Amino acid sequence: MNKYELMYILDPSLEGDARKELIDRFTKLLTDNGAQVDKVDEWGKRRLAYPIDFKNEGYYVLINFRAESTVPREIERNLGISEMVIRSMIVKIEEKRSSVKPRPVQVRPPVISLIQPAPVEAPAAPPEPAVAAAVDAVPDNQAEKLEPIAEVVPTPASAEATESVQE
Amino acid sequence: MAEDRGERSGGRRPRGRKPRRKVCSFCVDKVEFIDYKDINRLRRFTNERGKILPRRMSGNCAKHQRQLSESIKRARVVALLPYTID
Repeated sequence: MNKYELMYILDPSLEGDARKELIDRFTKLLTDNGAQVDKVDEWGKRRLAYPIDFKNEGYYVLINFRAESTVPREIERNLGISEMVIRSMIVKIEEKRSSVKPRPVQVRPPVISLIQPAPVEAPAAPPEPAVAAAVDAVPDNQAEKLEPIAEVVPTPASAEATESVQE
Repeated sequence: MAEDRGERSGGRRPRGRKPRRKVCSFCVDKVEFIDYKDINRLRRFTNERGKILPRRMSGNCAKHQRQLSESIKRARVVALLPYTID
């Protein structure tokens, strides 16, 4: 289920019951397609920023709904067919960015497997591989810590770049 | 050539005072999403001809400028904002 926002503009000459009926029809069309209508907001008559079909006014309707991704296309098709709808637009409302999976953290199991056979070969050896593993682990941690900083650094540089453009 | 370049980077601002660093107004207000229905806000970032102001004029950060231009274009589709004014 995705969140969508539908805005359509009806012919301003459409009044009263006829208008109400049409709006109800589109809302019903949504529910028939398995969409959950969250909100129907009628803005009413508004002046258009530019004339559409020689009309300077329009009746704005805003609908928030949740539906599967196949629904918007079907709704758009129906809105396009209707003569009384002079403009329509469906916009997907993006969820928060945090829903994006975080980058996988690199794990190094081979290091551990290398240490284990070492004591069998020579008893004196263990300290060395342990140190090697520690050395190995440290740059790994640092690399992870450094990465976000490296991402931040370019900003002042780009800021300077825009400054020099302004000159 | 090398001398030229050195001179330019040395005297970066030959005349006039240093312009104030513009800050992204969306970052200041901590705006997560720029709504295409927020016409009054969007209108401030268009010039008198209805064109979208460039980043060097508005001072927006790249992230918000991208969102802003998208929102303005959406608003134009539903006739909330004009494509052109003349």
